[in-house]
Amino acid sequence: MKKYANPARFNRLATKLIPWLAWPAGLCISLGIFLGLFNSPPDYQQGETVRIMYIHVPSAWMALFIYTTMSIACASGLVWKHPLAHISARAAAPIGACFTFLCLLTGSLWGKPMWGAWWVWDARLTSVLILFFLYLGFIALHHAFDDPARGERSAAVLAIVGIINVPIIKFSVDWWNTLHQPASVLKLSGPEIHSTMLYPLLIMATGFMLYFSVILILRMRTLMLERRIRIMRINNIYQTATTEKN
Amino acid sequence: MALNLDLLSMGNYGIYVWFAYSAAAIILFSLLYISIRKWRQIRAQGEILEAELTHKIGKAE
Repeated sequence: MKKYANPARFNRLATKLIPWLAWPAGLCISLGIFLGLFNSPPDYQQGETVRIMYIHVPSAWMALFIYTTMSIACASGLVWKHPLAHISARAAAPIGACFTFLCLLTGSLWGKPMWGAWWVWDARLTSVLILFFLYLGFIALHHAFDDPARGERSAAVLAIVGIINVPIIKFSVDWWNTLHQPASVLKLSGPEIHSTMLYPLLIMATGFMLYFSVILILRMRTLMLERRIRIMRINNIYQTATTEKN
Repeated sequence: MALNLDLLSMGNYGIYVWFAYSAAAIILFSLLYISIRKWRQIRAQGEILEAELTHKIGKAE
C-alpha cells in the first residue's frame, strides 16, 4: 500500500485501473436499474414505490462509506503525513455530497407517498442532513484559506470530528422512535428482504462503489496535477524574472 | 401499449419512481462529466505550462 503513496506510481496505476473499473460500473448500474425497475416484484405494502429503494439505499450506504474513508484518510494525513491522504479525502468529498443529496432526495420522493410528507424531523433524516452539511463544510473549508495546507488541516479536523455522526445515522433507528424503518439488509442476523429484491440492491450498490472508485481516481489525478501546475507557475514566474534580469 | 402505460404509471406512483431514477441519472452523469472535463482542462493547462517552462529554461541556458 505504501508504495502507491508515491504520486507518480499512483498515476501509472490509475491510468491502468480506470477502464477496468468504469466498464463494470456501467454494467452493474445498468443491470441494477433493469432488475430494479422491471424484474423485481412490487412490495406487498409499499407497492411500486419500493423501486426507489434501489437508488436510495445504495446512495445511503455510499454516503456513509465515503465519509468514513474520508475521515480515515484525513487522520492518516494528519498523523503520518501520507502524501495522497488529504488529496484522496478532498477528491472524495464532492462525490460523498452527491450521494448524500441523492439519498435525501430519493428518500423524500419515497416518503411523500408512504408517509404523506416530503420531510419529517426524524432522527435518521436529520442525522443524514447533518452528514450532508458536514460534506459541504469540508468542501468549504478547503477553499476558505489562501494556504492550501491550512485548509487541508482544518477540513481534516472537521472530517475526524464529524465521524461521530456515522454511528448515530446507523443506529438512530434503533436508539430513537423514528418514522424511518429499521435496517433490513445490514443486520447481524442477516438480510430480511427477499432475494429478488436483495440481488438488484447489491448489484446497484456494487455499481455505485465502482462508480465512486472511477470518479475518485479521476478527481485525485486532477488535484495532483493542479498541485503540480501551482508549482510550475511559481517556477515560471521565477524563470521569467531570471530571464529579464539577464 | 397497456404494458407500457402500466410501466409508466407504476401503480400511480410513477411520478415519484421515475423522478427518483431521473434525478439519480442526472446527478451521476453530471458528476462524471464535470470530473472528466476538469481533468482534461487541467491536463491541457499543464501541457501548455510545461512547454512554456521548457522553452524559458532553454532560453536561459
